[in-house]
Amino acid sequence: MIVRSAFLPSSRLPVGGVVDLPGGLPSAVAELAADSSISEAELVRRALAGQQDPFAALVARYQKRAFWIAFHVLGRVEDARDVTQEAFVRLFRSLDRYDARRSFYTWFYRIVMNLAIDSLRKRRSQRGAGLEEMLGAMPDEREPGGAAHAEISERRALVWAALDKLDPKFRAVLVLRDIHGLSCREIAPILEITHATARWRLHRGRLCFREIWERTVERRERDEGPTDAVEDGAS
Amino acid sequence: MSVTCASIRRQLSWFVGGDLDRDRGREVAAHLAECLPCRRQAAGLQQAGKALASLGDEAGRAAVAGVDEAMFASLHAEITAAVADETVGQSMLNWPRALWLAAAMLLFGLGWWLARAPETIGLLDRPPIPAVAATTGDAALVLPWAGPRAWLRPLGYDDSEAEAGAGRDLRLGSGMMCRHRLRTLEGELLAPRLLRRDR
Repeated sequence: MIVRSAFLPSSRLPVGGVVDLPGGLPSAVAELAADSSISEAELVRRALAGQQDPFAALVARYQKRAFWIAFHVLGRVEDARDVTQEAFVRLFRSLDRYDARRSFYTWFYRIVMNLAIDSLRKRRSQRGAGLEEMLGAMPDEREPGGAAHAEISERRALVWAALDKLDPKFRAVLVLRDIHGLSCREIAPILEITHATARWRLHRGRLCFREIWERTVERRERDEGPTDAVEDGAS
Repeated sequence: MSVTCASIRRQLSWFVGGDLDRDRGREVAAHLAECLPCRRQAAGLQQAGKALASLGDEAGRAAVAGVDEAMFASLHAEITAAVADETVGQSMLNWPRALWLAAAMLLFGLGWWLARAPETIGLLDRPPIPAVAATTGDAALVLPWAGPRAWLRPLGYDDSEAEAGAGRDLRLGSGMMCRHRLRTLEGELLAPRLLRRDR
């Protein structure tokens, strides 16, 4: 198995076995996690037998994907960290209920998504915090190359703002399909909905997002218009 | 908007997302080549989709403040530590230990209950009242929960009539029935003529 630190375009464990492992792992755990001949079911079986390294290897294999999914649903690093940690603790508690005939990542992503959506719904009253965090990460235009970065970051902040206005059920499907590249057939069991419902939510979600996105961009252009005019007038 | 446009627009989100099969995709593409309003719709969807997907690409992830390899390493350490705590908690709660714990709690609960049980609570918890018979000399008062069957007079029964039919006391019941009467007459419980033992 090839180990690399670059991010995967898809959240599935790809055929061919490229796994994005975190750094600083104990060598035994890193070897287990990188060994593509050891399936998740086998790691679960060993963890149930009382070994600790196999579960640590499972964490190493899936923690980044779990974190990014939670992050794209929640939009906040700290919340995504909490959800990821809680998801692995719940996974550990329910290891004995894992059916080895079924896909591990579907089962695990279901735990992650349930926790993330619950957290998002609880946090709805604090809407906008995620946007503030994203805006805080914007580079300074005075830095070399800062203007181009600022443009990109501002655009990302607008995407977050638009995403934040979406209903959680649409947001969950959009995150899994359009950001993490899962198919509707994979999304349906993760969200515990039918395939038809997943397709409908994806369709509706894309239309809603487009409307919100266009409104957001229009508002931004409208807000920037008078500023430019003033600057032009001043010059 | 023609029927064709309406039909095509329903498929645009799938077309833009690459989810249409080849034949339908060609059909939609052919329509878009000729229809400007539908092409604008498709372009809007495509731009929104690209903007959304930009959050997940490498640059989008790298731009998130506070997320780097060090963060993932510390997250891994936190998760394995939390799971190790769970393991310790589970091993402490093994079955023999849990049974001993349950037995100890049961004994403690029993002792506590006995220590604070009240001496008398209600009518049925009071001791029998033999003093009634002693003071009146008329009839022994028998409380129904004490065992023997009791002879009672009905409520409002005329005492004089009972006296006339001496030895022919009305048998009204015993056990729960008497208890019921006694409870009903709790205020008059000490009136000895209401209760007579069968002699």
